[in-house]
Amino acid sequence: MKFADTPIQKKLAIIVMLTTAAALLVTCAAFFAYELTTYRETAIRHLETLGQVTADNSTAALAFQNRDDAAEVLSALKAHPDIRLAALFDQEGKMFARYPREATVDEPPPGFSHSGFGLVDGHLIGLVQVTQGRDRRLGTLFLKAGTGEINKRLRLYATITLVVFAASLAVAYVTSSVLQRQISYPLLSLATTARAISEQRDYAVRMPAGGKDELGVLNRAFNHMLKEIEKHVAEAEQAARTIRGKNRELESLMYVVSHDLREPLRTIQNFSEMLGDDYADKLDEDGQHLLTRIRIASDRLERLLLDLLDVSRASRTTKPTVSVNARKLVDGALERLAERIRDSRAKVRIDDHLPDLFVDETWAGEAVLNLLSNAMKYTRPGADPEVEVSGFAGEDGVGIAVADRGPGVPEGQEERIFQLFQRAVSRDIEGTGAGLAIVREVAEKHGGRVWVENRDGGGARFVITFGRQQPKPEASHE
Amino acid sequence: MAFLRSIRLFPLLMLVAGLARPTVIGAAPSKEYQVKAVFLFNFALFTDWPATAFADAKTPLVIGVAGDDPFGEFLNQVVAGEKAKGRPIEIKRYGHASEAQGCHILFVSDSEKRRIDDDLAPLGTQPILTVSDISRFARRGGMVEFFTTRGRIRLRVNLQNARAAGLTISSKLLRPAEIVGGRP
Repeated sequence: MKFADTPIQKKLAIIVMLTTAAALLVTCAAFFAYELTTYRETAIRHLETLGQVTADNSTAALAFQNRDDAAEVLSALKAHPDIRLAALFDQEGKMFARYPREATVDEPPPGFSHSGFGLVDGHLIGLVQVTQGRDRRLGTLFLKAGTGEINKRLRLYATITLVVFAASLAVAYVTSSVLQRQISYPLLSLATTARAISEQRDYAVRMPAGGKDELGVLNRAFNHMLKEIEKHVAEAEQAARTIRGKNRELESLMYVVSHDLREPLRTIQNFSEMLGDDYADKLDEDGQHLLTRIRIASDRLERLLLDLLDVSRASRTTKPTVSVNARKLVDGALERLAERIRDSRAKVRIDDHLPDLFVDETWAGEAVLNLLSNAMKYTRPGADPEVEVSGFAGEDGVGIAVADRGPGVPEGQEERIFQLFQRAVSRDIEGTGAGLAIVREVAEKHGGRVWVENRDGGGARFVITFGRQQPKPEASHE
Repeated sequence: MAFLRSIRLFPLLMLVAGLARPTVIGAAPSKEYQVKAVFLFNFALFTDWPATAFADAKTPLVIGVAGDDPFGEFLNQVVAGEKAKGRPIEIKRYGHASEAQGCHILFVSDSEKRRIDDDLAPLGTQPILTVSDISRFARRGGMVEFFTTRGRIRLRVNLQNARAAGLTISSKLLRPAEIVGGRP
């Protein structure tokens, strides 16, 4: 796990432990180094003292050539377990006495007429001049001691150091895990609360105010933010409720208008028909012409009302959604457009792979029909319609795209063309201007959207999506 | 011991000296007295004299030989150039121990063994460390007696006599010595 991903409690523990360990390491190293040097010096001084005392006690033995006494003096060194060898040499460097008795010392050590102590090859070596009076040199004492005592002591120090190190770390761990709660607990509770809020969208919870430190500031700022969010959410919900109400009103208005207006329209149509049929001979040419105008206008009004009704129905549909492949929708629409395709010699190219959609089949089919029908209206000047259908998957969800080779959509009209009865083209092109409005209504009803973009090389490409919650392709074979 | 080595250049001389003195007859008598001569000098290192024993700071320390001299020139060579307690060392020879006034260490030769009782008396409590190899010397008023055991020269010390003379013998010297007539 990366350090950045480690929970904050662990992070704090690691930081504290690393800091403590570093400090302890330096301290213990210094302590150990100090002991190492001082204890060596101490050991040498100790041996020096021992040598001096022994040399002092050996003066008479050397002066009066009493080897037994000298051996006795040296044997007192057995109290010092590290002494490996002690030897007394006379003035000329001849071996006079030794300890232990079985030791073999034949040659006087080099520089035996000088005094000195030192560490040589893992042994403490010492030379002491045996003198009596001011400067009467009687001989030399040679001492050789092992470093067992030093090593034992150093091992003890190492053990103590290790124990101190471990104990300090343990104490630091306990202390830090108690103290770090001051930091980690508020942060953890903040994190838990934040997670709960983002998952449950309950903006009514509040953190305890906390102290005057940064965590308290954080908590209060967090609470303040929550309060703001709660306010905005409430406002947004209120606004959404209002809009939904207005929408319902609009929808019912649309329905009422489109439905109820058809009744008097039908009366107008019926009577004008009767007028044309029964009184044709009584009307002169002008009268006939006016009657035709009435009938054209009332037919047009009927179409408008029917479209309006469609849009209204599209927005009011509550049919359950089913999983259906887009190809089925396209094929259904093409069937209904077969006559127009044949008449206009339109070329329709469909991608082999179209996505599965989770839709209200009727209205989705209606939207596809409207897009195809719309595309067939726009061609290159003098050319036959060329329509291309392909799948679409993107940020805005899954759907299909329908492209034509017409003049494209004039800049600034991309939104307007989807509004009811708004048209971007002249009246030469048939249509009421309700088709794209129905498409948009269907798309939005499904949680998707529809938009248009101009193609390279001319033409427009309409994309409709049906929201993002589409079934996964492999899970929807029907 | 450069002097010991140099003396080996004169074995003939020592042989002559040994023959000249009937008291030094036997196996390597000169070797024995060489050792004793060195010991005699070493006594100076392990003994403290009262301040009255020296006229002033430059007064030499006198080592005397009473009676027949078994050391000859060797003793002079031993002390040549040496100092004891910062004082030069002087060798004096006396006919008899009774004449050894102002001496600090006196070796009483074996030739004096019949008269030491009389000779030591006049020295009385003078600060003179008396040394001899006359048998029972330490019990007969002397202070340090050389005796030989298993071929080695050992010391027998009469502390009472030394103390009576105002001398302090180092406890170190007493370590290898045998003590008579008084406890250390």
